[in-house]
Amino acid sequence: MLTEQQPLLRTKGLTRRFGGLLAVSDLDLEIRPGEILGLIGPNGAGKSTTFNLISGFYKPSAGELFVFGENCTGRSPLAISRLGLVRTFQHGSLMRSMTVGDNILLGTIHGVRGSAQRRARVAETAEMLGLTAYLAEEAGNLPHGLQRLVSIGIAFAARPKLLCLDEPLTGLNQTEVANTLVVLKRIRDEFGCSVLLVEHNMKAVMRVCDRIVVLHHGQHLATGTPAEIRADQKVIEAYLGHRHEH
Amino acid sequence: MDDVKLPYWIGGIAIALAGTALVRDAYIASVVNLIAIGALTAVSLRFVMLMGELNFATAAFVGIGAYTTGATLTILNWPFLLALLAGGAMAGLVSIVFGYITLRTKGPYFLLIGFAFTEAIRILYSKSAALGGTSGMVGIFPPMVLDGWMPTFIVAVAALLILALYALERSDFGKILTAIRDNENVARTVGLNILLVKIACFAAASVAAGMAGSLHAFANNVISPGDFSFLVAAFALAYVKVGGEGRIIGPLLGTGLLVVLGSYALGLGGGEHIFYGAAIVVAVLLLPHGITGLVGGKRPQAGGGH
Repeated sequence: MLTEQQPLLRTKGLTRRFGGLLAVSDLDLEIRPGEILGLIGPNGAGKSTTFNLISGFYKPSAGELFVFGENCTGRSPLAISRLGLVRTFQHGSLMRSMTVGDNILLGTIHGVRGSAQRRARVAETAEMLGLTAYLAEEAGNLPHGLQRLVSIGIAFAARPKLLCLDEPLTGLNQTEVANTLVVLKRIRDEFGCSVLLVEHNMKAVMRVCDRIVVLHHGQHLATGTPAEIRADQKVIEAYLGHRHEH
Repeated sequence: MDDVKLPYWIGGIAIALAGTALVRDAYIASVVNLIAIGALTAVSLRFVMLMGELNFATAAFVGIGAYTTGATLTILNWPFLLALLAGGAMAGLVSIVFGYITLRTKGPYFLLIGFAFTEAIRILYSKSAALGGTSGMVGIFPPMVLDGWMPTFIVAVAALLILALYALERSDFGKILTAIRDNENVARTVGLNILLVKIACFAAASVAAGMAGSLHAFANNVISPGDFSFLVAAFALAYVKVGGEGRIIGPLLGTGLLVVLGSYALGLGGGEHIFYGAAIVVAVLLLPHGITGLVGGKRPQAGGGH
């Protein structure tokens, strides 16, 4: 049913060169309403570049980017974020010297008018992420796992239509991973927010994603459900290397 | 908005104003004026530091405020209050243009542009015959009614502007400034127009700096290009660093202490600048969080965590 709707995000032949290096090449990507899409690939596959391209932090060398149906090729990060696409960063995606509450508050300032309404949004977001007890703590002093949740909290407090998370599970223990996956599902189920997940933790990606896109050497390698990806011979080779190589 | 601790402010301002009412000695009055104007300049400098930038153009905006007041009063014959406000307004307008162009740079680049701007503006006054060239402008007098009340008036205006900047700092706008200092990219991802916020912060600080210049013009009655060199910003930085930048009370304490000690050092036969340089060195080495850092305990170090 959902698949019949217009995609939230679509790229057509998206390409980015850095000098002689083709970081992302001719990529067609589609994110559908209500899905959790995983973007995976070995190191250097172009995942981060793709992330920077769709959030406007890099301008594409070629190709087009459509966000919520609008042509956003070459638009600024500000313009894209205001359409409702909010991203996090792989490293330290939070304000260390500010309290957890003020971190989350930052996500509400653009979209919510009025101090009381902003505080209500912060409370709701913190509740959702299990951060209520830490609202007054300085974010930089929290354990790593909670800092990762704060990063998601800042982004989710803006109530995006598409939440793009860059390796949110890195460095988390099993409990924290399971906890974060529950949060992601709730964000999708209760708020109708789609999620793009770039992640190295394969087990988690297989568990939470509806579809998975695999990149390899900056190119699209495969798209499919977790079961299809797991069985895909090209994907297995990309991760394990060709048998004849040695 | 977080609590602005209004009762403390009202109490503090009332005590300061009552104190100025007791001043009858002309020398003490001039020191009180210096402290009020210096504190306003230091708070303006610190306001831009909230977003992580060292604003040496502060000195230029103090000068623009002073010269605008001087020119509108003595050349255009504007009334006192209008000439006073014109200083702040002109500084604010110029800062919006200057900020729009320069706030795309950061750190040492922004600092150097501010430094160069200060010196360029100063040369502009020196070369302008209408503004009195190198000898400056004279006859910038407040109205007779304020005779004897200038310290009270200057402290009141400075206190109001400092309180206004503090209220901004405590508002959600102030939180965006801290966010820009901490992690500009994250602030950029949640729909906030960072350049606009930076320009607004810079303009608010520059209005305050311009008003400090206007007050300076009325306090001294005479202004010259030499009054507005980069040293104005260097002194303000000393006030902030010695007092402690963590809280707004820091620059107020720092200004009071350094102006009083500096005025004393002046009586010993110059060496004022060596004195300020030494104060910064001592403060940075021994009091990394300034005087207020001693009282309130150390802030947790950035990069602590786990």
